[in-house]
Order: sequence, then C-alpha cells, then structure tokens
Amino acid sequence: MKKSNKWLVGSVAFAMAAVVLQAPLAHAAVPTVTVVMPTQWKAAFEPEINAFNKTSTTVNIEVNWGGAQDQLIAANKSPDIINTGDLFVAAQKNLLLDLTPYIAKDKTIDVKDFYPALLSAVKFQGRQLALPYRFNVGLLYYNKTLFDSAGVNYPTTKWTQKDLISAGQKLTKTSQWGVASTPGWWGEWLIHVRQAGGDWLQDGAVALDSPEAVTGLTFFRDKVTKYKMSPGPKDDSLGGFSGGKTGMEYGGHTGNWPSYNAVSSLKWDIQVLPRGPKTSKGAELALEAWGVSAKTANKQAAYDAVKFLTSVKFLTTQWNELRLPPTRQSVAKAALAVPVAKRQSPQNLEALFGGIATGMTLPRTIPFIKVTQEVVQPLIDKMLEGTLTPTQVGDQATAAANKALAILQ
Amino acid sequence: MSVKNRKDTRNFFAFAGISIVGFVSFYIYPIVRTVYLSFTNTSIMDPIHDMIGWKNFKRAIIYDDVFHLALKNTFRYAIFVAALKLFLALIAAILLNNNLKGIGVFRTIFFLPFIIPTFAVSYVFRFFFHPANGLVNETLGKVGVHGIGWYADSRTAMLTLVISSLWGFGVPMLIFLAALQQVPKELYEVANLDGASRWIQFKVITFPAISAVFLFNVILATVDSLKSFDLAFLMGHGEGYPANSTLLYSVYLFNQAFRNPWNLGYASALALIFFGILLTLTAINFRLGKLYVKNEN
Repeated sequence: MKKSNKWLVGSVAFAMAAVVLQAPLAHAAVPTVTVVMPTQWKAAFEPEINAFNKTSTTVNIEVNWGGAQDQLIAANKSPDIINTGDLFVAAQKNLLLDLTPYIAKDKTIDVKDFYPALLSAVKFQGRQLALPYRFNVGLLYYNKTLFDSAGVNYPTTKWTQKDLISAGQKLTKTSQWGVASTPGWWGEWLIHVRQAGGDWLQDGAVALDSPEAVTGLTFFRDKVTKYKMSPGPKDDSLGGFSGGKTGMEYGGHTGNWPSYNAVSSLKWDIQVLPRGPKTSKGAELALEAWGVSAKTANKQAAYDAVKFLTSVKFLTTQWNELRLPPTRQSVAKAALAVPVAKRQSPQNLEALFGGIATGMTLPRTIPFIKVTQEVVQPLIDKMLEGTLTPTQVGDQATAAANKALAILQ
Repeated sequence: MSVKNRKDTRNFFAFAGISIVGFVSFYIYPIVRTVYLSFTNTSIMDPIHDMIGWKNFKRAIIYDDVFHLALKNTFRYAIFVAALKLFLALIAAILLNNNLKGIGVFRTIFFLPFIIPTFAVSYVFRFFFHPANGLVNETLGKVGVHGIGWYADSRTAMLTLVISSLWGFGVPMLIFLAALQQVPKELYEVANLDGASRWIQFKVITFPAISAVFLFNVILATVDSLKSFDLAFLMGHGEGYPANSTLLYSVYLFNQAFRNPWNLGYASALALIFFGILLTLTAINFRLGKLYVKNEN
C-alpha cells in the first residue's frame, strides 16, 4: 500500500471512530430527567417524547411507564418530574421546586395561555409549584339513547334542579336509573351543598351545618329516597353510567371518558350542571400538573421537560389521543374550532371548557381529603342508609371535622 | 483469643453472616427506624421534618376518634374471627381425623381457600352478598327474609367481613390435624371400653393431648386476625366503607402513611402502639395457656 493510501485509510478510520465515539458522548452531555406515567399513555406519548429527545439539546426525558411514583418518593428515589395536583401541592410544598424564577427568566413560555384558574390552583404561598396539564370539572353526563327512547329533551344550559328531577324520574324504570350515584365520594354531594349556597369551609371553619349546606345534603339524599331516581347503597347500580342503563351522571369525572368511549353502544354527551337553588356555581374543579422535584440534580433540564410536557404541541397530542382535557386556552380553542358534528363523544366541549369559569377548587391548605373521607363521608353514608337526617349529618360532620382539623393543624 | 476460638468465630460469621446481615437489614433497622419516625412529623411527600416528642402518641391515644373506632372495630373483628376460625378448624380436623374414605381430597378442599388470592375471595363474597341480586339474599328471599344490606350497610358490613374471613381456616386445621394424629389410638379404645361418651373422650383425652398446639393456634389466630388487612381493605373500598364500619387498624394505619397527607410519622406511632397491643395480648394468651396446657410428661 502506498504511503498516501495509508494516510487516507487512517484518516477515514479516525474520522469514523470519532463519529462513533462522539455520538453517545454528545448525547450523554444532555441531562436525563425521569418521570412516571401510566402504561395506558405509552402508545400516545412515547413517539412524541422520543421525537423531542432526538432534537432537544437541553434535556432527555426518560419515562418510567407504569411506575409507582409515591413508592419511589418514599424510597428516596423520586423521579425528577413529579405528577401533582391542586389538592397535593400544600402537602408537597417542600418536595416541589418553585418554578417561578424559571418561568420569569424564560422568554419562550406563554404562561398566560394556561387557564388562570388552573394555573393558580397549583400556586402555593406565592410559589408556582407546577404547571397544569389536565383538569376535571363537574358536568352533567347524559345517555342520548335513553333520553331518546324516553322522549325526554336533552339537557340545556338553562336546566335547573327541577328539570333534573323531572327528567330523572321519567328515565327511571325497572332495570334503569335516572341519575347515577357514587357512594363513598364527596364529588356529588359537595356540588349540591355549594349550589344551595353553602360550602365545606367558610371563614376557615367547616360549615356543613349551615341551612344552605343542609339543603344541599337533603337534595343529595332525596335523589335516592324521595325522588327514587338514583340507586341507594343497597340497590344494583346497573354498572353505573358506563353500564348504559343510567340516564344521567351528576358531577362525574373527565378521567372516565376513555372507559365511556370504550363502550361502543354508549351514545353520550355532556352539559353544564343544572342550576341549584341558589347558584349554578359549585362544580368541582380539580387538576393534575407536572412539577419538578426539589431534589433533582438537573433543575433547569427538569423545568425544560415540564415546559415540553405542558406545551401546546404536547397538550394537543394529549387531547387528540387520550381525551385528557388540556389546560391551555389555545389548545381548547383548536378543539372548539372542530365542528360539533365532527367531534367524538363528548361533543359539547363548550360545556367542558366553559365549566372552568363556574367550577370551584377544593380547599387545599387543609387536609381536605383526609378529613372528608375519614370524618364527613361516614356520616353521609349513614344518611343514605336512613340512620341520620341531613341536619344531624350537618351538625355531627361540622363538629367532628372541626375537631379533626384542630388536631391536625 | 486462641487459634481454635478465632477459627470458630470465623466459621460462625461465614455461616451465619448472611442471616445476620439480613436480620439486621430487614428486621432491626426497620424497627429502629419506625421508633425514630414515630417521634417526628415525617411525611413521605415532605423532605423536611421535625422531632415532635410524644405528640403522635398523644394524638392517637387521646384525640383521634377515628383511630379509636378503628381499634374498636379491630377487636370486635378479631374476637369473632379468631374464635370462629379456631372452632371451625378444630371441628374440621376432628372430622378429618376419622378414617374417612378419600380423606386426602377433603384435606385439599379445606386447605384450598388458603391459596386463593384475597382479591378473588373478596370478589366472590361481594357477588354472594350483593344486597340487590346476590345469591345469599336471593336464597333468604325464598324463606321470607328480605332487604339485608350486607357489605353495603354499616350495620351488617362487619358481620359480612367476619363471615368472609372465616373460610381461610385451612392452616390451623392442618396443625390441629397433625396434633390429633399423634394422640395414641389405644387411649380411645380404653375409653370406649369404659363407656366414655364422645364429649368425655374429647375433654379427657383429646384436648389435653393437643392443648399445646391449641395454645399455638390461639396465638396465631389472635395475631393474624388483629393484623388482618387485605380483605377489609378490598371489601371496604380501602376506607372502611360504609361509614367506617369495616375500618380496621391496619387499614387505618396504611391510609395514614400512604395517602394524602402521607403522614409516615403518625403511622409509625400507630404501628408501635399496635405492636404493644399485640405483645400484651400474646402475653395474656401465654398466661391463660398455663391454665389449660398439659405438660406431656
């Protein structure tokens, strides 16, 4: 071999080795951050995240599909990005990084695009602890097939509690319920309490004994006992709303949409909740958000990842593929731009996004879930059994919950 | 130290080292850690915590009404489940101790429930006891008994849980059976010749012979039923539904540690209180055992 050829071969080999070696080194220079996501999101999100990882020069997102976030945190192996929510930020205030300075110096993020109510729900003590990605708002779900066969008009924005009762009773017959009920959960009775003018917490104290709250509790019970349009604890719920034999669901949860859409025979839609005796406000507004672990070694990279996971592009995929209601107004606007007839269930997206304005978040500066589930809910259960009246529940729940809060705080 | 002693020590650690490391890692360390955590306000979701002295214990013992209810529920549940399980296990063991044809099949049938996962058991019992269209209420309806709420009614939910827990008596039954098979047959032959009734035979021969095993089973059943978790968790939706009526101590403890607000410190205090209760009850069982356990000699 000639000397010049040797040089040529040597140079090519060196260049190839350099390319081969440099590629992983260059990639390794980009910090990797971890996040836990449910396995059922994998098909929708993985291509999007992989594409992002290929182009991103600041962060590489590694997803732990189906992992147990709480267990990882308990084992001191917290993922860099944490799935949190409006009810959790208070308890996680030291676990989550304050994103405020990162947002402030970021010229490319449009935080005003987030619905302000959702953004502020994960702001705690002046610190933006997370960015919201999905939300739930209480709505009226209805089964179009059952409405059609009963000759009842679909719910409108003008509906009141009277319309609900009238339709519920018309829809109730043997092996069919007018309105579903969810035992053991606050999501339904709290809306009635709020729409009657009461609330769980008023002026820093539990106020379920107010006349308004008792009115709300009474209506919750009456749906079962007086109007006989909802199943009680001893009744067969016929598989709930997704069972296809229940006319309406009051409150419900957007997280159930995939299971509703999985039932091909279920033709359903949503409407804003009927107006209560005092107000139409009171639907539960809850959300989930991505935050950054305060312990992460790559704070800026983790922030960049959160920014991507709550970006317009990603939230659009999230909405199109999984029907997880997006938290950005621009994504909502695009969804609303699709003609109603071309939308899949639910079609009335105006009710969904409009519900953010009338929805109310839950108390988050106190251990609301703990006190409600351990102290208040058992009394509500007894009311449905008929062993306590709504007034007794209001009185006992207020006393017990205030006592529990005093101990816990 | 002599060469032999040094060699012995080396051999000791060579053989027992792994066990010692395992024992320290998985028993001693968690216990010490639990004791430490019980004096703090540690939350899984909060990396910052403070020492708060006896506050967790004070809160549980004096103020926490739900804890008191869970404790009451647990005792109620444990008394019935332990007593009934032992009774059923003993009866089944005595029946199987006779020279029945196909005894192996019966043994397997009685033991089978023990190896079936609890979630399947809970599902089956929810099907049986469904208030609206369960097998039990349909059968009772035929004899004129209607409307029992079973697990959906706070007045009958604990009864449903107790009944559902009884079917796993296979382990104490096998232990009783093993003990019964050690009793010399000649004793029964002599008793029969003397005209002793079945009850007298049980009282004078059988029970004294198996009394040590009986004590063992009593302790096992007491501890097992007191720390019962899975069935109560599944049947009570993880929250003692309905109306906290099936809220057992272990379920309450779990909820304190692993649900919002993830209060690990308080849960650790509850675990230590529970440990104290179990220790006391075991000591009482041993003391009571002295009254009926007959020495083999």
